[in-house]
Amino acid sequence: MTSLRELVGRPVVTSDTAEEVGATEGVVIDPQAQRVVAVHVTGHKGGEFVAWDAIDALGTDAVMVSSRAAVRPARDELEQRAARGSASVLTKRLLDDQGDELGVVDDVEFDDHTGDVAHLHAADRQFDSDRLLGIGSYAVVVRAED
Amino acid sequence: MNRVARASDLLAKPVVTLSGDDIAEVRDVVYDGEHGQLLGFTLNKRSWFGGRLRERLAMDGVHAIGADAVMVESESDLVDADAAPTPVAEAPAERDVLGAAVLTQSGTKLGTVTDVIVSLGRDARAVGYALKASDTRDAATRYVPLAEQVAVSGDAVIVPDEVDRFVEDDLAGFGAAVLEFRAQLHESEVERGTER
Repeated sequence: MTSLRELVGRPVVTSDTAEEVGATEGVVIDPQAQRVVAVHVTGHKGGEFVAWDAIDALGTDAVMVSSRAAVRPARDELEQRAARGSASVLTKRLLDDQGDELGVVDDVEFDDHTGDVAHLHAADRQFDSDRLLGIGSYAVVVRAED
Repeated sequence: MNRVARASDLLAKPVVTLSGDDIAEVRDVVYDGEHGQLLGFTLNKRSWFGGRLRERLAMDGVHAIGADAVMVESESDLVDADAAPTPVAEAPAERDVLGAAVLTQSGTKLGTVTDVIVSLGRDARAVGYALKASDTRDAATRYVPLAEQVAVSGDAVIVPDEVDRFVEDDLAGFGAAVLEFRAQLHESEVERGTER
């Protein structure tokens, strides 16, 4: 499992030319699939996103991407929202679908091979990824507990 | 447990989609005093400049009302004023019932209405009134459950005598009082053979 909080700031390095092309800003999560679908990179002029399949490894010291060309501009709506700042999950308000605030997201745990999100962490509690309903400009929304 | 809140506490709360976007905020709570029904909300924009939105949110478009936000499934639940059901569009605002005296059938004045109390969650609805016990400045607040209102005018609401037994002094206890009151109503309906 990878912790998003620990991942942020990690250098992004190309596997083919061993160049550092930027640093990890965050990840793009598909709330319906409950999976990380891209890594958001800062400090790179050619673009900001690396699709999950273009990531060779999430190492403890660097994120290895296939090539410089893999870091490219936002390609779909999820990535565009991330580029506008709507989709960054850390420090985002956590709201349930009954309209009650649960805290602030302080970490996300996900599988570094498949990208599947396991849990969200907020207010000393753990929230199963299958409760995830949406990630938007205002909040991360999860299904309320029964 | 039945969680409740004052309708006035909902003012300025964000309207949030299940995708996590705050698309509006509550401007006014639309309440039909004649039928004792929460109809929906009029809306303001979610920006520093504020300003009204043309769209309204009727109760059938509400996914849930919570302590911190009014939840909707998507933006399409906000309806243009022209298309909204007439009462929500014309907005007889909650304030129309404010100040009305609440009297029992036997002529006891329970107080004057200062707020409408709503139950929170998926099945949100108006469940009672907050009343000021007297006209003095420091008058205590009491809470009464919404009953089949015997008669309503702009000045007064007449309620059955039973309501007097379910008056509460604090909002926290009021949720339970509403449940008891409802259970009681249900029992007497069964006894009278009203329920099939």
